[in-house]
Amino acid sequence: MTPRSWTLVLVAVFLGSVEAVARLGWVSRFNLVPASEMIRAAGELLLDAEFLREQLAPTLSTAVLAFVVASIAGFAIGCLIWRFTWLEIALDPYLTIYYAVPTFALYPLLITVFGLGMVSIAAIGILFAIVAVIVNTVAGLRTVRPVLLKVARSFRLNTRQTFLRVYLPAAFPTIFTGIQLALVYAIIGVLASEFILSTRGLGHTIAQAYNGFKVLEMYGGIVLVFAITLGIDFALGRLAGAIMKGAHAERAGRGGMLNA
Amino acid sequence: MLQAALPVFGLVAWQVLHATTGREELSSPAAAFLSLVQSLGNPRFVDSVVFSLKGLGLAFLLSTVAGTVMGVSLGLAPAWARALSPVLFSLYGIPKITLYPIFLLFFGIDLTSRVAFAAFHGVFPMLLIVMRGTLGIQPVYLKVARAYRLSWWQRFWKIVVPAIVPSLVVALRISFSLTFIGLVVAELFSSYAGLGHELMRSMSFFDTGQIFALIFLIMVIAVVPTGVFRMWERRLKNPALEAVESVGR
Repeated sequence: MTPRSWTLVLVAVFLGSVEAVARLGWVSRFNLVPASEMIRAAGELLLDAEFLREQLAPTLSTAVLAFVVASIAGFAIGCLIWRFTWLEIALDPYLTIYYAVPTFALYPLLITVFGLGMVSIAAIGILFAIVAVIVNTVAGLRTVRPVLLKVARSFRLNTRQTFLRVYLPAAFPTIFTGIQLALVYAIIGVLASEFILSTRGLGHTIAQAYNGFKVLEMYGGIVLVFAITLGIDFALGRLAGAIMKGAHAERAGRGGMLNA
Repeated sequence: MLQAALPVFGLVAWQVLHATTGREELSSPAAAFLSLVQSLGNPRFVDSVVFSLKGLGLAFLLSTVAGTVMGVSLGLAPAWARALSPVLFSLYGIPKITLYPIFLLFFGIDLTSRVAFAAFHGVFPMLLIVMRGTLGIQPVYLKVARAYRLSWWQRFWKIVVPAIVPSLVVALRISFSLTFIGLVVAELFSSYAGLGHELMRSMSFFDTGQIFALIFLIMVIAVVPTGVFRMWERRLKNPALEAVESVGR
């Protein structure tokens, strides 16, 4: 058996034990429900048009908004830091310790300033995601191989051309890693803020279900969170694989042309 | 010198915003500082800080011990490591806060559930980094252990831990941050004391000065141990220092 099939066996054993423990009544139904019912509850949520419109859509759109803002602003700030050494000296110590500080501690402050709603939630998503993009942009641009810059000089590329045709393609894989992280962080930031305090969203649904003793709905919501994040993770992995492969193929193709 | 620019700029911008917009909820640097000083003299506030620190210490201890033992066990059993890695990496990447209600259901709303959740939140980097470190140990070390018929604990203390110290320190740093984040978020959601609880309380009273004071304290608690771990990492990476130390032994 391959490691992958062993993984599936382990997951199946885990789900089976949850199912058995809950069905045999070893744990109260107020604490745990059978795995099959959790999955059915998640399915019912997905079929519920009101849930999709009022809870899931706000969560996803806020996460996408936070992700887009964090990616664009993070890339711009990263370029500035790379370009201006004084900015790098001034900001570097804060960037390195940034993720040690709980960003969510700012959420109550944001609520007092912006009120309870999408702005505060999106702000946490942005704050949580942006530094991953900044750090990876700087790292990617800084580690461009000197030989590529030599080529740019010998072709007498101007600054703009050098940036667009040499720096950007060479740094892209690293920057893409940052963008990938930003999507995951934006989702975590949004779901966590909704969970702590909000009036709608998937995180809010789970918190509300817990507070209202609706254990089945709570587990259904948690299964949905798993499904969404694992699905996005899988898709991003595939996309990254395709992009890296494309980059390699292109490089190989150019190499072949040079040989010809 | 340039490093001081960001905090100075932040304080000036804050003061200017306060002066120009005149919005009560923005507070002001001076008011926030006063609030911090006053709060530190308030026994209830100090109790809350101690309450959080106690939870943090317990949770960090728990995630360190559990993460190291599980990581080394998996590292010494590569077949299990390969089978479980995808599950562990996926769990590391999901928004774990949504699992907090499950901890509340099983452990109740007292300190136990928060400590258990914070330890769970912080254990993954520990486990994964230690597992990778252990998998990377040169096979000859483990052969020596077998030749000496060392027990599991002897192998753990005499062979594995010394071999993985550099990755262990990195794991401690990341694990500490995530444990603390887990604790703060758990306290924000449901608690009757602690820094997160105080934050939510101050928010309901629109007491922005107090909120700033709390954020400042949280930053200090997060940053100081991180700095210590980073210094430790740098020492480990510097061969000259290591050489000096080994002579000292």
